[in-house]
Amino acid sequence: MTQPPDLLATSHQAKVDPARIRPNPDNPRRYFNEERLDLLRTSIQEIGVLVPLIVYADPDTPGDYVLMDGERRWRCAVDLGLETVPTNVIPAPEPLENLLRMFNIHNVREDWPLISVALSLREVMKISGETGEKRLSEMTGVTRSSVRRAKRLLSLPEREIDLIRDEAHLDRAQQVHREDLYLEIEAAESVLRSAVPTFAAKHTRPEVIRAFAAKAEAKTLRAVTDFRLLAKLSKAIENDDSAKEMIEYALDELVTDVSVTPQEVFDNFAAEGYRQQTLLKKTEVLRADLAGIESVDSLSPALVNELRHLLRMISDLLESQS
Amino acid sequence: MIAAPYEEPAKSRMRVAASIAIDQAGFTVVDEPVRIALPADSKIQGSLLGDLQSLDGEGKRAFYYLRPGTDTAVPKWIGNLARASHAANAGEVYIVVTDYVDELVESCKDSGAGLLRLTEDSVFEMVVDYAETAPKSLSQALEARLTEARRRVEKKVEFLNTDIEARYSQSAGIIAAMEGDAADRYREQFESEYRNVDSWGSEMSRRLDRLAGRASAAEISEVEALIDAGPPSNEGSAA
Repeated sequence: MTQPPDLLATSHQAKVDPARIRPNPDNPRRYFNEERLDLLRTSIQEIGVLVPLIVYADPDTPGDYVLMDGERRWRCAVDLGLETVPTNVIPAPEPLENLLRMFNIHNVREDWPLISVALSLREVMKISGETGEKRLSEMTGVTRSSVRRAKRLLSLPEREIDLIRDEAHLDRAQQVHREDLYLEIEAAESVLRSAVPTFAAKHTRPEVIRAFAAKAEAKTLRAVTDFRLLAKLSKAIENDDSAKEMIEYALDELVTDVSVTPQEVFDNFAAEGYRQQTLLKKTEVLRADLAGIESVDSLSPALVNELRHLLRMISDLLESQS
Repeated sequence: MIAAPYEEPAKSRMRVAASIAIDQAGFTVVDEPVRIALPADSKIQGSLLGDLQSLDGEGKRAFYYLRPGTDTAVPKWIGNLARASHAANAGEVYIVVTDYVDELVESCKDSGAGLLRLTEDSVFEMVVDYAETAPKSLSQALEARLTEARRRVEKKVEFLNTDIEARYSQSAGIIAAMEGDAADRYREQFESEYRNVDSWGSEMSRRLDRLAGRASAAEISEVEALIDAGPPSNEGSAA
């Protein structure tokens, strides 16, 4: 385990009582699974803390320290009742500097939950005033798409953010309020809001998000990706006013009845419309391609054969309708 | 002052319920748990502390280690403390769980730790009485092999993590220049490797925990072979 040399340039070493150290409030990885620390606890108990923690003097409480690096080792030391731990004491950083150092120290190895990144990113945005995706990515070392997804999580109602945070320490299989669930919900809600204005006028964003999350809580979803069907649903009602009314009714049911699933709404009210819309698009593409053909002589026999087959199918279909 | 870091919600709920259970059992919860020193000849660092402590009417102290997960064996660090507590005569060490398996009961008896089940009504059910335990010892040779095996797990985990970090650092420039989600996918491969190593380390630690106090040479050899083999290859490995 190596330590960032720039942090240590102006540091001094000291033995510190771990009870006088508090966790860094800006550490994006705030969540620890109890059992995962057992290996490290035994190691520290039997051979000690080999790599000093990095701390700075707590500006609010003389004699106390704030942790900059080594939260896992520190937590183990507390659990084990160690009297002292070796530390490197560095000068107290400015708030933004502290946040950015946290991002840069705790990088890939720590595997932060996205919600954790998002909450720290919110602090970075608040202190720095910077909201641009590119700039935030450069400042924190977090990839641009992670910044984008983190910002989408931050757009959720605070109550939902708390639910995600409360389960962030759990293994993914145990989580109900998963980050990917909320990213799907957020996307579906946004699509519906712009595609079905009457729906948007009737239901607030927090109401819809809560109703969708409740479906995961009630275990009525097959997968979090079920919400993608709602984006398909919005496509199904393009150019089809007759379907709109039924779908608006179904969407109301989707919000008010926890047992109604996106799959049911899609299958019952939009699957056929979606199929036809898809077919329409394909037909338009084929028509455009065919318009570009100057002579049948330039076509391969296989293609000519296929087109004849298609012509017969279309004729039969249209005749059966008339 | 003991700093209060983040605690997983299941453990926090357990802490509240266990405090009630201690009270129900007629003991006094110690508001600020104190560190009780281990015997000078103890080969481990730290002290008896516990997540909770209680005192009975005669001032006898008990240390409660809350375990919200599903242990099948006493974790080595708690086992070490339980063994030392018998020598220190400083109080009783209890592991507190909400559910347990027979293997954990045996493991508690072997390591000298008491076991309490915390019921939904916030009452303790005594599963293993600390006073009736006597820590078992392996032969020095087997104990040394187990310790050596554990050190090898720790070193392997550290070595593999350092390797992942080094490769990730070297790739930082490439990742930064990647378009769209490619950077995330690439980074996720590193994170997946890290998780894989972490899970392997935890699994090896649990296997070694299960051998404490009752391992045969053959069982130790079996775990040593797993340690030598290292973590299973990670399909998402980033080159």
